[in-house]
Amino acid sequence: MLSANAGGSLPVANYSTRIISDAAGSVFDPQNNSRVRINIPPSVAMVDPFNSYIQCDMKVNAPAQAGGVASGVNTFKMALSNSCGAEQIMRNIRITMDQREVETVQNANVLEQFRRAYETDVATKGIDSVFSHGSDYVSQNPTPFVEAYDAEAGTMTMNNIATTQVLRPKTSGLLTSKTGLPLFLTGAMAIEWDLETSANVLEPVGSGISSSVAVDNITSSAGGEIGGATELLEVTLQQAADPKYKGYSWGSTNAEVLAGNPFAVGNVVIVTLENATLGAGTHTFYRRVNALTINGGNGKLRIQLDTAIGGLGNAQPCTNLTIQAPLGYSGVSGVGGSTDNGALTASTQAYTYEISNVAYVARVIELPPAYRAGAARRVAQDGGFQLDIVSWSNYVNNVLENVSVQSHLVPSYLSRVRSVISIPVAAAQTDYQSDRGGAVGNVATYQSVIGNRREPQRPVSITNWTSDTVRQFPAQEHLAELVKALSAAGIDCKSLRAFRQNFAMARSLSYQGSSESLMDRGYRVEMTHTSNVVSAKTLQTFVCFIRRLAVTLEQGLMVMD
Amino acid sequence: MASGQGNGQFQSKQFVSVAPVNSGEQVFGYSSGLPQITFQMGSQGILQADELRLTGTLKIVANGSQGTNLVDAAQDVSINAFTGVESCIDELEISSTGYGRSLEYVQHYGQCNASVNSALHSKSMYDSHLSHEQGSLGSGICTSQSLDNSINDDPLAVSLAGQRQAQIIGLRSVLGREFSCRLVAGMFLGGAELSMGDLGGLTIRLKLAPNEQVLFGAAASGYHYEIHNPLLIASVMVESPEAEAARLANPQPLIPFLQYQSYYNNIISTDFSVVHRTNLAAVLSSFTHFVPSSYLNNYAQDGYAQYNPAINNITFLKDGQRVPLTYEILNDRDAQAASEAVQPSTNPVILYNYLSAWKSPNAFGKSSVNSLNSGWTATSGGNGVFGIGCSYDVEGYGVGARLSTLGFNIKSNLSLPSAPTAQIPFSAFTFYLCKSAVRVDRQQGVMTSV
Repeated sequence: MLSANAGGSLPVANYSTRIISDAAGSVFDPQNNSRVRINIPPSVAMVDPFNSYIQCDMKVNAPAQAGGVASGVNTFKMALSNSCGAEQIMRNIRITMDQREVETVQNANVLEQFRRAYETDVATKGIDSVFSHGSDYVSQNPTPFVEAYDAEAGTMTMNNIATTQVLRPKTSGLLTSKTGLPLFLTGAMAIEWDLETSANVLEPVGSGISSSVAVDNITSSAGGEIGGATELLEVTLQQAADPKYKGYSWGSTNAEVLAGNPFAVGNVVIVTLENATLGAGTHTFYRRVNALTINGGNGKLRIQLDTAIGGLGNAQPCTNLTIQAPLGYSGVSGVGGSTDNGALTASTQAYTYEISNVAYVARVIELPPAYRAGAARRVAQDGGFQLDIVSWSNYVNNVLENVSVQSHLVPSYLSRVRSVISIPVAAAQTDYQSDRGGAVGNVATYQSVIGNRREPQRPVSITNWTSDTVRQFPAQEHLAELVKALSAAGIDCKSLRAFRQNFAMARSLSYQGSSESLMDRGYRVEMTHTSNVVSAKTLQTFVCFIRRLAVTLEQGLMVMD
Repeated sequence: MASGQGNGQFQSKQFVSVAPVNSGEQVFGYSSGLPQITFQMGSQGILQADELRLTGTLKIVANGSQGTNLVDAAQDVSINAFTGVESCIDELEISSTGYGRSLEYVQHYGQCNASVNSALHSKSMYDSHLSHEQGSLGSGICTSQSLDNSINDDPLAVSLAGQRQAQIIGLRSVLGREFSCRLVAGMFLGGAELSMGDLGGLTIRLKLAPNEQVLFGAAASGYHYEIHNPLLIASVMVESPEAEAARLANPQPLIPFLQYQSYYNNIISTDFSVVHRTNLAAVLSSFTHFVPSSYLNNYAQDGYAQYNPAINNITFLKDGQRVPLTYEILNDRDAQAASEAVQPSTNPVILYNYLSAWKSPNAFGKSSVNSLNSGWTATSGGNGVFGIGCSYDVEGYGVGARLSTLGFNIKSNLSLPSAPTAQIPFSAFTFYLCKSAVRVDRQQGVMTSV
């Protein structure tokens, strides 16, 4: 924009307008009305997708019982999970033109998160979080979905209004294209997506310990002294002086600690500890929180449980004390022996989200008559109109449990492939603790097989990373391969800080914008593990390729891969 | 506009330093020294405008004395963290020396600079460059480490008080704060190359801002600022004789450039229309930022800080029609909220369009706009980054507004979160980025707008 070079050219009028979704006025949610569709008519002659976005209002609904201390249903502040913004509600994206499918990206939110992890540094992630309420800066910018939250009373109030989200899905080639889309030639465009389930989109916040671990897990650094009575847990964390609870961002004042800690009166917590009286090993207890207080302003959070921990005497030091506030548990706390972990019933509580007022805010370019006439003449006389877009295709494989050496066929036979990114997502997922990041597990090596060619010639070894599970040293060849593949897919890698949480086996098939045909070759990923103990994963492979849209007088719109 | 590096048209590149023509004792300031700095650049070569820099030394001096910089960091006297030394500039005028014609006149330069700098630079850029160049430390999050650790480990590291203290410390050198800053003007954007021969040389005049606008803090009223030994550093490509002859062969050269036009309004009603008769040929974008009117020229407040007057909705207008956005921007404010502190919004649509005043929001790599800086806590604390704006034309041609009016209708509560029930007037500083051009008639010796 900041250029004066356009002098003398024919001005092109353009403006921004809202194109509302089908079933305007509807409220969409993952359970009842989960497919959203926006039709963009051909009367919108040309759209500049790079300067357009999807807008909706989003609201989180708490289960009916939540928010009351007597209900026995855990109360949580909910936010968008996976350090990702509201774009993650778009699970499968489908775009049609003239009733023909031109782009489909299944499991798009897996790729969305992956891109966000590498493509955005702190500054750009901050902008994205503004637009889509991404759960960054949690301690400074708590979830917008909850208006009031009182841990001491165990109550909360959801916001009265839905909050606006600006969605800019980076996984769609069409929606991120810098080239104007001539709908007067291609016909009407429809953007359609399926909503991701609430349990995979929302997570509890309030700790700031980790954005990828939804619930808090606190270890007492002072040995976890049980003070006064066995139903009282008095937890001294790493720093008693201001700012209190260093490392946990609960706040810098007593009031902030009470409001910011992840516990709430009425919630059920899981207490694990080691204690000589109880015997060797870790002991687990389920208890309901009856009261939360700050002990005399000395920085100790006192958590009063509803019943004593059986067999544990007063003021006995414990080691490795952890207190978790899990979502999904409710009811009364367990009773019985020292490891009474079976008495709880899983809660039916279900925090859900809904969106409404969905619209595509399109930057519309008003074409001069001369341009329209020229384009129409090109279609009629010069063999047609062609447009190349970068697109993604998704393939799903299963990484088998306890099989050390595995080979996965990616049945992609596209003609112009630029990059392949295979993301192993943990198969076992917990509701409201969704982790869409690539899990490295104990992968030792990986290699791509293209036809009968192996790339790189020697498998990429990441044992430097996975053999030391504590320090997890970065494996340099892996990072180099990853950055190459990202670059080939048009993803400018700006940050590697989250590489451990976002593992992928990636391969570039492009040199300076070129592409490679997989038509008679196919693609295969081979991986080995450091042992036979392998957890099951879903291998989400995304193939980045160039797709050609052509409009001819005889055939109309054609899609060529 | 000229180009041609690599074509053998230029012989060499020279860096020139230009001293003020109204030098006096080389001390400039609002109350001490001369209140205006004027530079004149000759009519030779091609100016590479985006490399232009203003250098000098800023001193914060106790009233009644001169030349001794304040070194006590405990004294609460500071300057805006997003503009730094550029806070001292109130007006920037660029004019043709030879033809005696004003080419660009940016009023409220500091307000313009506060928005431009914060929108286009992130905290890491402030920390790595701007804090060293012009004493502006910015606000917010810097690195991934500070994202993960500093906020969580030590909230004071990003607290308003902590960042203001860091900003103050950077100004407390015994010899004063040396600076080298870019000048924000439309003419200097986008890598413009200006033929100084065609322009007849340039005169750049900087009018300095009042002390009470530049300095703020509990002790600020006891101090004034001084700028010592300012110089303008410019890089100029020297034309080859052939290139110069070819240029002179055109008897009526056209010189296109960008310029900012600035406007000031007081918003005194919760439903208020701002209308500007701009007489501009090609407007690319506009942006506006808000300051409570009572905070201007006030030692107790940062007069360049960016505030949100509790906006409910905005409509951009051209001749009373909704242009370039055919819809109203509705902000998701909760009228039933128990307090302003729990308002749910980070204003996504407002800020999306605000950033579009510079380039596509999808193309932003760095910015201080984030949910930490642009939310309620920061904008009420005076360390926020917030504004409204829009792009009139994403294709780079600009919309004609010679005979049209531009502006916006704003519905707001006219309040700050700290006092949500008290309505106060806000000042709105609006800047239009537009394309402009002048034609020079060498024989007649005149320069005209086209």
